Amino acid sequence: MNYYIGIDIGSTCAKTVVLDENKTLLLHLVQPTGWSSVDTALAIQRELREAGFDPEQLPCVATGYGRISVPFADKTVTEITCHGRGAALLHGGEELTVIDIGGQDTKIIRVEGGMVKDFVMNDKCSAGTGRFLEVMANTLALRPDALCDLARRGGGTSISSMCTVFAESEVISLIGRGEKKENIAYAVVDSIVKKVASQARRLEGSPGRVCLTGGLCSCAYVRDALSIELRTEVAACPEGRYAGALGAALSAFSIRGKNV
Amino acid sequence: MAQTPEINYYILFANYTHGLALQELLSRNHLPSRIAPTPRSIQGKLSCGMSLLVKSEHIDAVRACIRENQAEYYDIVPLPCQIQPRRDKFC
Amino acid sequence: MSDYVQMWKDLGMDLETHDNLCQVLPTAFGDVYLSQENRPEGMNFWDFVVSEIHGIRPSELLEAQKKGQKVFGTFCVYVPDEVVIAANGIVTGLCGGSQFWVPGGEKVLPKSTCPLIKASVGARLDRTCPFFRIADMYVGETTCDGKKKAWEILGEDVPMYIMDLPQMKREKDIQKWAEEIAAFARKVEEFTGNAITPETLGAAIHTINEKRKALARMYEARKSKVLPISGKDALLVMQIAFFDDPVRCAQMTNKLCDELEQRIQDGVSVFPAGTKRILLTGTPLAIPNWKLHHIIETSGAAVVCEEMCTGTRYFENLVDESQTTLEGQFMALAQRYMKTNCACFTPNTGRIDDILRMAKEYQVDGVIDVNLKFCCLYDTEGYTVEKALKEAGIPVLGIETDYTDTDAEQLRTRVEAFVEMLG
Repeated sequence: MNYYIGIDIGSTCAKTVVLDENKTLLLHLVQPTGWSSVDTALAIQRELREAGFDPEQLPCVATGYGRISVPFADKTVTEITCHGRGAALLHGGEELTVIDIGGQDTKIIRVEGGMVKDFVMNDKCSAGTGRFLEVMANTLALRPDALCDLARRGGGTSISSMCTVFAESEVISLIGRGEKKENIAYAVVDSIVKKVASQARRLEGSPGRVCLTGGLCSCAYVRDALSIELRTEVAACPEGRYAGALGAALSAFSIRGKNV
Repeated sequence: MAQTPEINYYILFANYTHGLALQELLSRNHLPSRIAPTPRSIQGKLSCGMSLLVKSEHIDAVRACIRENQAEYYDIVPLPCQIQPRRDKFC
Repeated sequence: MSDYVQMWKDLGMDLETHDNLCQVLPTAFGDVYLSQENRPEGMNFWDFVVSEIHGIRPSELLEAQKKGQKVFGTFCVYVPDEVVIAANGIVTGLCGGSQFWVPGGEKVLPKSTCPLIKASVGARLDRTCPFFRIADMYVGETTCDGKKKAWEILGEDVPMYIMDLPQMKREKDIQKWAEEIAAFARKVEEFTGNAITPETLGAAIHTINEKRKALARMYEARKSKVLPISGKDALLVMQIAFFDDPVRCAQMTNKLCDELEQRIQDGVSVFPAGTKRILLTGTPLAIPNWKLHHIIETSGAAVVCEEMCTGTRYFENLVDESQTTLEGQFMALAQRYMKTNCACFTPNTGRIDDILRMAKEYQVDGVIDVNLKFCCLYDTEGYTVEKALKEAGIPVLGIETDYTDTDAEQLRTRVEAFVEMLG
């Protein structure tokens, strides 16, 4: 049996998967990226070895922001290509639109025939990203997933500023005004969802289903709110956060010379 | 991953007329060199902007050629390779 | 050449600040240019010019001024060099392509001004660009709102002449541009004290046409499957063309082209076979703005053409040389310049036609539409450009950026993903 390793070093978390030649997911790891991508990569190498998969011996592709910091990877592929391919594997289907809400950027990727056909990515601004959620959760003294859960119970409030820094001061003044936490949580998620949806509309008219990947796909409420905003069912699955790593492992299938 | 950086040689001049003359001479002798803006760290008081960048494998032949032809130059300075295409520092 | 420092001092430049630029330029040029393998020999000339960028040409201009010639600083490809040259004047580009100058511009301009304008104004006000110091007159035009207002700031203590460029391309607009050129000619005559005659203007038209032909010849070589020159090097040639003497520019470019054509015959390419070919379209890339070219060419692709002011818009279309009266020549100039397709015109379908034609001619795999931040005109036209390309089945990536380094990693991700997408 041949094995393939994909490593996705994102801005917040590093995700690692091992696939066998039938594209079955054998192992998945996640760890905080921390200060040094290189140290993270070495920690991943240790864990993989302990699990019996030596990345020096097996085809290994790195993706994500820290992709160039993985010394033992055979090659690097961008997270855009990897998320597209990974989502296609997870959701089964050659045609789909992938919404990846990452720690530091949000990407909308159109996949046709299993290949990335088009994409849009937010610019330097962190509105509509996981980072935005993290900052607001911090201000509310909540964990990000708790904020998402709480948001479902709220309503009636909104944050008008798209800028994370300004939005944070809006949240602070909402707290000061005595606004209920769930209403503020609602406003935070609503802001992200609106921003992501406006980006997604740039690729409107793409065939196939819409699915969510990245760290936020375990938040059911985000998915539901996105579905309503985009007026279409948005699919998400628990392995969604590994989409990038899965895509990287799929990209490793083309590496020859290892895996005899 | 860490490698000792290769050494490059920068030939400095009092003025660009000398620099261009040596470039011409070297190229006639099939000795590769490139015109490069002088790195500030070695420019000193010279304000001639151009220098000639010579790779270490050619420096001995270049020195010999300079001697033979008594070509004018100011100094030859070895520097660890300054060129990093992935530095992403633009000006 | 310690006299450069003296020259800068005599020009009233802020030496200390200027020195900061002199420090970063060699490093950036090394990383971007000298990291390339197998460059054409002929690029030596441009490497040399960059090495002496604020010294050698400014000292030539000062010499010319001593002999009574006037120097006109211009900002835009619509200003007809021919008219200035016909009156024995000299045209030079002005600084505006570096983040180095942006903070100076931000002191007086709104933040939401494009970096090109901010940098130009900053270079002028901070006294860090010798060309701004040398120019006897600045010649502006009405190609965007930001520039129109910037002229009012730039013209405070140097004569500023502004040409009113039409915003549509009807017959009467071409007629109007011919009148604007005639009015500019009268101004140039008055300012230089030299008469413009059909003979001097005819000669100037010929000179600039020869320069255009030389630059077009270099682009012709870039259409080849065997790429004899990198996009970065070709961009440098274009950027310096705005500053150099037009006759020497044509000469050196033609010499480079001899080598490029030989390379094509010999099958010598600067990129491995299969490297993805990219057409760049959008706003100008003033020297030393090499960021996007560098990112593209270190991400597995090559830039084979720039549909830009620092590209095809500068040299495409020649001026009719058969006219023998000033009136006929002004009209011939107007007709040529009005063929240039800038987003300041409405409608501007000609630009879409150009892009689609070039995508074919240069055998491109994809197009990158790059716009300077806060350039409302090109940014808005990006919608039309991208739509037309998608309809034609040509992959396109839209990018908005400025002169800072901070988005380099993000740009790299986008460009690499785009190249991966091209297969």
